[in-house]
Amino acid sequence: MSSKAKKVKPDKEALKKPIEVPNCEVREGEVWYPPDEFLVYAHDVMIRRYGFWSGFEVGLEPYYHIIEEVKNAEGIYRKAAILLKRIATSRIFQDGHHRTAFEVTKAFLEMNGVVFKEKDELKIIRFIKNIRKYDIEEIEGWLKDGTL
Amino acid sequence: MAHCKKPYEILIRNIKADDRILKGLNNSAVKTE
Repeated sequence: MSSKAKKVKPDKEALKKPIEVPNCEVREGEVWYPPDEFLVYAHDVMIRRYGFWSGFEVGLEPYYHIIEEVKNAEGIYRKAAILLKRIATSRIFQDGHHRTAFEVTKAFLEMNGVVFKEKDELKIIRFIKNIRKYDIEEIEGWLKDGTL
Repeated sequence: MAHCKKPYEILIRNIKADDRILKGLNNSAVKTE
């Protein structure tokens, strides 16, 4: 990904094409944590498909701290809540933090054997857009069973 | 190597399934209150 930001329009052709999948290492029986290249890949797909500003703002340094905080937390839902809130409210990229945080957190839950429960799309959109208002405990509860 | 691709496969499957959510997150017209 380029470090220079440029405005990207949604690409209708990109929506039709298969998305290329890079390789990665996954160890059985351990908690899987999304590596930085996974975060960048997810963000790139978001910008390609849905548009707006590409590139980094402050870069990946905050993400390394986020992952350390996630590793130090107890329980998959608590870890996921930290991952979701911290990515969504970070300034890693120029744009697309909420979208990227949501999909990276969903993949994190699923990779660690947990299903994201909330199915109501409007509720999900509202919750993610308002994520700054919620603390980690509230986000953990919402991820567990959709309650606040 | 199929297992190694799993997180990316999950991500892509979810992104496709969540198309309306992702468009909604990108749309300031969706009211948050």
